[in-house]
Amino acid sequence: MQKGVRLKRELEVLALRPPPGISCSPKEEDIIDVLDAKMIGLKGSPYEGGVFKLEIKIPDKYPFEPPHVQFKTPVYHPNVDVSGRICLDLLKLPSKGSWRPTISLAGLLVSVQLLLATPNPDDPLMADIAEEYRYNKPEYERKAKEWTKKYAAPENSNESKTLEATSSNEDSDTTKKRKSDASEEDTKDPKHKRT
Amino acid sequence: MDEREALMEAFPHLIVCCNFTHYKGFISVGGTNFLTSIHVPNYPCLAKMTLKCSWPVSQLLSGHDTMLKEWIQSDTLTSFLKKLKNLLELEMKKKPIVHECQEDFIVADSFKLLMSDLKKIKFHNIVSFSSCLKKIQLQKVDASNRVHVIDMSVGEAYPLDVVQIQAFLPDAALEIIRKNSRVDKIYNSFVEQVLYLQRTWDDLDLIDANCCVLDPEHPTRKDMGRRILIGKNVSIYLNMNYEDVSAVPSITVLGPEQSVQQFQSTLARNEKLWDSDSSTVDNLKKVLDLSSFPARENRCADISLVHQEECLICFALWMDGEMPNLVCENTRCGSPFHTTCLFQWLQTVSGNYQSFNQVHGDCPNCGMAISCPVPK
Repeated sequence: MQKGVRLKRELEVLALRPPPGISCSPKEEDIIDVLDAKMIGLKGSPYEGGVFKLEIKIPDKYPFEPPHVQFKTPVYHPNVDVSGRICLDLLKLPSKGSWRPTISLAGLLVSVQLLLATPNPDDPLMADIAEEYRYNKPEYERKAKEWTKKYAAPENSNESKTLEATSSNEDSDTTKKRKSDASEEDTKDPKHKRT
Repeated sequence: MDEREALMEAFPHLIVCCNFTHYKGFISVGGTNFLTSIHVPNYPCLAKMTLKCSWPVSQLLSGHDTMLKEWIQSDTLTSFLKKLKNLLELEMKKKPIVHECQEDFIVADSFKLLMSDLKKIKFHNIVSFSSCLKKIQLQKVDASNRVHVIDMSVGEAYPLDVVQIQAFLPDAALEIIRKNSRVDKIYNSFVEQVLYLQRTWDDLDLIDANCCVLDPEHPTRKDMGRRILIGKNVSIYLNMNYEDVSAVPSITVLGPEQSVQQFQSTLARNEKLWDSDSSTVDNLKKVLDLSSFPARENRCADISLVHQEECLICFALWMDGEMPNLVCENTRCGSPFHTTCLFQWLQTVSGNYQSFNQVHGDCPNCGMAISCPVPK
């Protein structure tokens, strides 16, 4: 009952006044509980300049249960696993997490954007990346930048979208194809390098 | 010998003015010259005389007030000054002040240099400066009548101390300006940057006037980027190129997948239509296939997520024909809730207990204890 009323309001406000660097809207018209979100990597982080796609599924018990938020763009990050799942306590119900119904979608997305820029290696999903983040930060930053360039460059979202649609489960296959896309990208457009 | 002649002989650097009542000049003590100004209103009597001297000298004389007053009672000006000189010589041996004197000179030199640098800037471009010239505000009015202001704070050892600058310019431009150390050079570099970015600002002003800019909320001339609404839920991030102001700005589309794809292919198709002679607004319309941008009027309307009095859980006023009827008792929170909403939340959280017909738990907004009756 609360879900529909609240979602409608939230989507209206998200359309008119989205948080900086974030967009969020229904994936398809008329179905308002599967949302598409995009966020720009924060300045100064290795994710700067990338546009990251997320999928948000709103559970029927929303806002008494937190939304399911998942990255659709591959991200090299201690708190995001290979399938895009995010380890963030706001996304879990108490007592495991700290979701509260007063948190808005906009607020949640800003938190995810912040988590992206400031990983939390104490609560990792990807233990090896967390270790790298802690003990070999330059290497972590290099890889995170590389992935951002490869998968999250704003211009190649066309191609990666089709890839996702055709082979969402075959990760290795996807990676190969994406790699070729990315190398094409390298030669193409210098203007995005300085932003 | 006349007292006046004796004075001039003993202190040749002291100039007499106004009928021997005023003296200005230097007293040299142990090779160092101290600037002094003396006023003797009842010459040759020393009563009510005033002695002005620099800070280090006054430091040396501190503690000798009674002695000085005694001298004023009994002595002529010449013997007074000779005694003063001896006293200073003695005190200087105890605590040398050479260092402070040097610093004084640097400040004086800096000041001279600063003044001559400031003279090179046209007067009407100087907005204001503080009395000690440490803070200077300069301006440049550009061809489109925009006023650009630069604030400088000058250090004591100018130009060795780096001049701190502040201006509403992109960071890249500020970096270039900061390479200069002299005030006039800084100003010239500032003007250069302002003129260089003319076109960009013309473009951005047009965008701010014609489009619904989502981000930044209050754009300044520091911001080279804008997030512009171009359709329902669709926006673009536009970043002007600093290195080449006539270059095509970078455009990133944000929004629902379908619209993003559509706009991106439109952009790719129309890329060649970008005409560097016309404005960015017109160009954007052309390459995005837009007849006009969505209006900005919504921006003024009240579009907050939750209004006062609305339930902080369902973000609505009415729920099941009821208005919010519970309020968090923490006075600093005071969030309103519908009983049904709060009850459902308190039941969802494990660990909350129910006694009689009340559920006890934490306010979802502030975390303080809250209780809620079981809805009928």
